[in-house]
Amino acid sequence: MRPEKLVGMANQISLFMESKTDRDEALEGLAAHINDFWDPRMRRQFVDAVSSDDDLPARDLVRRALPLIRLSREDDDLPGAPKSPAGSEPINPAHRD
Amino acid sequence: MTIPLSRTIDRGTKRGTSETMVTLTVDGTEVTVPAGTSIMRAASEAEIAVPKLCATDMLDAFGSCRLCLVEIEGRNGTPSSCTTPVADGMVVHTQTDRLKKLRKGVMELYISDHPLDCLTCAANGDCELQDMAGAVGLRDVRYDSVAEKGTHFQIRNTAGENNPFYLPKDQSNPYFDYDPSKCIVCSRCVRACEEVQGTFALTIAGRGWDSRVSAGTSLDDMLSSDCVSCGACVQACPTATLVEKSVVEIGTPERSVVTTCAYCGVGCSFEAQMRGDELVRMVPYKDGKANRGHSCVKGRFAYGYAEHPDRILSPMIRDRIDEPWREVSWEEALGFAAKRLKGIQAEKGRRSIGVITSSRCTNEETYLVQKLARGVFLNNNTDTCARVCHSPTGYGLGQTYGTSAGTQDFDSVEHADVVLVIGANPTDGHPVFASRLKKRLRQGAKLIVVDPRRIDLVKTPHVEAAHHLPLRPGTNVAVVTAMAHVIVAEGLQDQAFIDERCDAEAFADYLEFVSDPRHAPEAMEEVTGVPAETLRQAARLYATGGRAAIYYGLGVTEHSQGSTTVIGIANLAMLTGNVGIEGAGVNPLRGQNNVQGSCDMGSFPHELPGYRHVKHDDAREIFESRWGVKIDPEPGLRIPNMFDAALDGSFGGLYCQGEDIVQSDPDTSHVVAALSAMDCVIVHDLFLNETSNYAHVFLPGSSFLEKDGTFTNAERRINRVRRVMAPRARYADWEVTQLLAAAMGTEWGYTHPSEIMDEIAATTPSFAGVTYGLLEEKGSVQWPCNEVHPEGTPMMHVEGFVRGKGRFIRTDYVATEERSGPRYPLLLTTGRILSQYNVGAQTRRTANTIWHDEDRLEINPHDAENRGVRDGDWVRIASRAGETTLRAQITDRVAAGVVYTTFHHPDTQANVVTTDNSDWATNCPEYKVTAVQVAPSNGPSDWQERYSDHAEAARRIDYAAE
Ligand code: SF4
Ligand code: SF4
Ligand code: SF4
Ligand code: FES
Repeated sequence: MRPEKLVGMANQISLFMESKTDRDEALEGLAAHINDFWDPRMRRQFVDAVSSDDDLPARDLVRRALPLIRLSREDDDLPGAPKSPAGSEPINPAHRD
Repeated sequence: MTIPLSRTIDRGTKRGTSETMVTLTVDGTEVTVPAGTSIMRAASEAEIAVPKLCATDMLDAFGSCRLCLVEIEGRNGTPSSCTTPVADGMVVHTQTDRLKKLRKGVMELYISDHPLDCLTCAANGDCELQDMAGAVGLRDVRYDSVAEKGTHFQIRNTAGENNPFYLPKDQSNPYFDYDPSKCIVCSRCVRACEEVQGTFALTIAGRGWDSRVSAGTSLDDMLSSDCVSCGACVQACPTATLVEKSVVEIGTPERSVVTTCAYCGVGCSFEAQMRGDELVRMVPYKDGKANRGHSCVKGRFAYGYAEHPDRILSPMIRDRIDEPWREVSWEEALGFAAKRLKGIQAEKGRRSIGVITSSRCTNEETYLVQKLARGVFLNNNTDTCARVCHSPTGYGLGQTYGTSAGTQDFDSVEHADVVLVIGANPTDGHPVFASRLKKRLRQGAKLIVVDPRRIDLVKTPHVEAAHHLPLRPGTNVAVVTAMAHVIVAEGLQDQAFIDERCDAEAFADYLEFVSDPRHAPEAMEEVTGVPAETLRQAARLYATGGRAAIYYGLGVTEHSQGSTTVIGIANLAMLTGNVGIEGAGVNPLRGQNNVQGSCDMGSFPHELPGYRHVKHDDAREIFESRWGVKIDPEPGLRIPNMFDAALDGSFGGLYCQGEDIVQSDPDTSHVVAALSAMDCVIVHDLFLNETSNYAHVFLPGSSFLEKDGTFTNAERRINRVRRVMAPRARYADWEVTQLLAAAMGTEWGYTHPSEIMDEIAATTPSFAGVTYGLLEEKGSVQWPCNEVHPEGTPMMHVEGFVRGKGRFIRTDYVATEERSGPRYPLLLTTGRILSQYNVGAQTRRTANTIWHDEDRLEINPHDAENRGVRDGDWVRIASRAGETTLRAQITDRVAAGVVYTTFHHPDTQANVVTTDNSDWATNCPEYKVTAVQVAPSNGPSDWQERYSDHAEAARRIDYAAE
């Protein structure tokens, strides 16, 4: 998934959480929301992307939440999600010209 | 439940509602009824049917036909029993010599002006006039004077001149005829249109001998009048004057099966009236608790799609989507699908395939589809089209109240004093509820409408909103929070309720937040476009006007802050103590028929049935021990995530039941690219739809007439769907899913949907008490239905909130990224209209197209003039996602700066324009706000042309050699 999109989604959640007065609650709320609603490959791609690219426009709270994002317990017994191909070229050979 | 045809007895008038009981004697039988009940009704409850013509228990008594006369001991004269209330100790006689004679006279007069063509009449055998002639023993008709004066039914009078009283049949409505020559002017139709439907399309024009039922003005026919074709008048008519065309064509039905409409979230109960296995007509069921005998044009008439020649009745497969379809056997299709799905999993991992459940299918079918993902694919990649409409409701109400469902039943609206409608257009989207709402408004309840568009409810005959807040699209949170600000700032909150029922700490925090002057309507005016004073008045009315109910729709949820708005709405209701009492509450108006059910059944990727997160071991264990598998504890992909993952290459197979995601999901080109990237797309539907253009397997679906099951409507009401004919493509949908599971190697062994419901009850606490037996007995139940509430729960949160204490949550307004700017200066918002349904796959295949044959773009005269657009012109509408063309309709229903369209027709492709922005919490797409530009154009866009060429190619079928 495009890193910009994942970061955009995380920023949106962050904006809601940031209105909480308790900063810890906001941080935990953000991480919990991502852990509860994002599939493991999205979380993995998200953490990889944000931790490796300081230029991604992630909000401060989003960056601080990274260590709290759970990386899947079972990732190991599954073939990892392949890296994004350049652009969004269809992988189905039938659709490549 | 097959009920003997016709009729649930018509008792003539409604029962009184008084608590005081009154006992009287009718023809020697004692009967006790509530004070205020009519004599006619009391007699009927004592099994005595007083002859009647103008009375029917759907309507208020009228007293015009004088057939229902009775004698009362100690009173003079012969009062009409439909209009005379009972009194204690009254002694009534319904059959005396005097009455018999009078009634015969009345009937004779009626019949002297009536054509005696009973034998060839559509109502023959189902006609109250005929019945009454029989009941009073009418044997001959003398009034020759009538014939001389000119009857209403003869084309020429006795002298051979044209009869000025004769009016020809009006057959303009596609579903029913109006034959004035058979009318007895009892006004039942006129009153039904007023009282039941609330449209006021019919009147009695003229007086005395001249009086006629007339639709609209004298220049109108049924079709051009305001009539919305709900059918209430047809049902009310005691003769063949107003009659379904299907009855004219087929004849009268012989039995009737109670079932549930498969269109919108109101979930009306219908009698499917049959002759053999032919459906003669659908008649709203009087004992249906959601609709109370009323219906709209879709459920009542638009069922013809089930027999449409476009239906695909044979499974089909193809290797690649650029090949034509090949018809194959069920075995081959399922084997092909299973092999591909397994292949994808072997190559890309367990989490690389998934399912989409349908909000149009039954609970049982939905349950099986998510079971297929969880128990056979062994992942949580299950989602439903409810994602794209009401997922924020689940999140918002879950967080604040502890359960993701509406709080009331529909009956509750009869007790409301103030009704706040936000982002919903009930007269088009939920017409039967709208009729009930309008009835309450006519009785004096106040209405507040929050909607960018001047929806019909704002001003319709005899209904006018006290306040209309025409907000800028995308600013719901700002408006709702400003209302809360006014309530708090002016000290209008219900402090006792808050102290007793709500979490004190959360409230203190919320109070601090909402009191901040930056939420004041004056401060927000700039953003919302709503005049501060109007907003203040609306807030005061909501807080102080008595029992206040909120009804909201997709105009709330389909925003980047959809979940926040739902929370804001929940806050408002808690703030004013409007939870847990009749006439109040928070009520989402669900889009499709089974949105509620599909959410309840665990369609979402993070939740097992009954809204239990998959991360909880105890919840998973219940299913694990039953199914004998390990359930994935990680949340799965949501629909938009599936598309993204497909483009990444980590997701390759999808089983999509009863949904057309290409047409209904936003940003069509993204969806199309994602589907094209998949290796196995299975579409299970009635018709080749837009999604099937990208599919490899097509499995024919069954219509709601062809299967057993249940739907759950917006009031949490579980209604039975009953099979009235055999599945045309051999299998009901639940059987197909079961066969697919078997092809993948898992045998389930269900032989009837009731067994699936038993499994749901055994695993899901809120359904614990639900069985088909109970539904048979009660008609319907509202969940939670369990040991504590064995007969279900009409109202939620009565003693306290489901989560314990109600939780206030801050609702900061965050502007959507979708802002108008120089390139895209207008805001597009979308909606639906009455006669069409969702993507229109069904309604477009019925005569409903007569009312809406294309989608139009509504644009304000000011914006139109600036762009040189005239009414009816083709215009191009472009957003950053794409562009399409359609024709413009100039109207001031939309404010300057806002444009509006529906999305019922695939050629329009309105979703080519909508973007992939979505709700922060649930990824529910932001359909309701897209920044666009509009310009005149000459016709369809390139995209539309390319798309329709491709669609045509993708639909080719190579028919198997016979
Ligand atoms: S409307 Fe009734 S009474 Fe009149 S012709 Fe038809 S069946 Fe006979
Ligand atoms: S069909 Fe409905 S709207 Fe039309 S005239 Fe009859 S009652 Fe009125
Ligand atoms: S059309 Fe039917 S319901 Fe209406 S006045 Fe005539 S007979 Fe009565
Ligand atoms: S039924 Fe009572 S007056 Fe017509």
